[in-house]
Amino acid sequence: MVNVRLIEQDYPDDPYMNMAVDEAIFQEVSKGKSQPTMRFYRNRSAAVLGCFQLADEELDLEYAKANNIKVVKRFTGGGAVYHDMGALNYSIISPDLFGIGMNVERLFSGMMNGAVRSLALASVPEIKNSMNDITSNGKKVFGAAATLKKGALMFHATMLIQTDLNILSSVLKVPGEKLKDKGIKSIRERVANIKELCGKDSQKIHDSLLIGYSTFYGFKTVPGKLTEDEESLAKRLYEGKYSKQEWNMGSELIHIE
Amino acid sequence: MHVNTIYKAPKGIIRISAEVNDNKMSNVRITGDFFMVPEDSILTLEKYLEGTKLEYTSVSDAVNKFYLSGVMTPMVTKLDLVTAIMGVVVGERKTN
Repeated sequence: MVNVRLIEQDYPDDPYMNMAVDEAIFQEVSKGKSQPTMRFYRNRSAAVLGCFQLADEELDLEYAKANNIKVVKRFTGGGAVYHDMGALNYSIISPDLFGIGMNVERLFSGMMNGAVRSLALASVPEIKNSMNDITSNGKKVFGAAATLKKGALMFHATMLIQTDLNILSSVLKVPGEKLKDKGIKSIRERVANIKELCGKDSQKIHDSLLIGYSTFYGFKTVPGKLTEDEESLAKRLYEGKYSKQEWNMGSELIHIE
Repeated sequence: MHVNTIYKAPKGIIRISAEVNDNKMSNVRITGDFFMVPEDSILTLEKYLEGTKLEYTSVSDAVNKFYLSGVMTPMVTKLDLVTAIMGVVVGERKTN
């Protein structure tokens, strides 16, 4: 049985640091210096962009500013999401213990299996999943992003549990093409909170994920903390990348190792 | 002439922004909610499109060359990318 380090350390008021920590762990795992890790974190109020997105194309920036919503970009692709304390996020960062190889679709498929199993354990009804989304009763409750490089894979996801969906639908600007494709008029019609669907709160979903993933993949989670190298790299990533306007608001790709 | 266009692939919005002069593209910028691994490959694709003629075969050649590096774009095919880029032909135009 593989031991997986469980990190619960997060920075709810500093989404830039939350992102910096995810990337620091990924880089350290890829160097063979950090253990396989499962991490849970939350952000008090943040709009989180995929790395190929532009803030002004995806977000109502005036609304974000007026409502004190911080804008931060991930180092993975995919779409924009809104995080508040009613959204639970987790990351799985690991060497390839799962036979995934250099195949992103297989990575999504493998990690989504664990997520679906966990939400089913929590009695989330009518679960269906696509490559990186999960719907319950036809409404999106879960979105994931992933990447990999030699020596490491990274999967992180956001679950809507008790999120303010009015704020979510006000700050995210979803292109008409995407809404039309799904046959809806606004993003508000597309999303739902897990708490309303099955009564489970954030702690219950957190526990289901721990059980779901550990039993599915046969690993044991062991509470741990960040290594000194991870802390130091996260600080450098924070200062040189995630707290920078050029990264969060622009289209510049920034590499720090 | 600056052109913006948007294309919805099965899994991902692909937006292209480019200058088009004499039917050739420059300053090409590709954004959207797709996945691409390695992520910084996007710069290679943008570079390959620099100076490329807005003709199907030229764009298709550039995209095929891009995929030779082993880049992965889950749920977005070569054809999606070519179609997104060719959308520049009919995209929203803004005179500089």
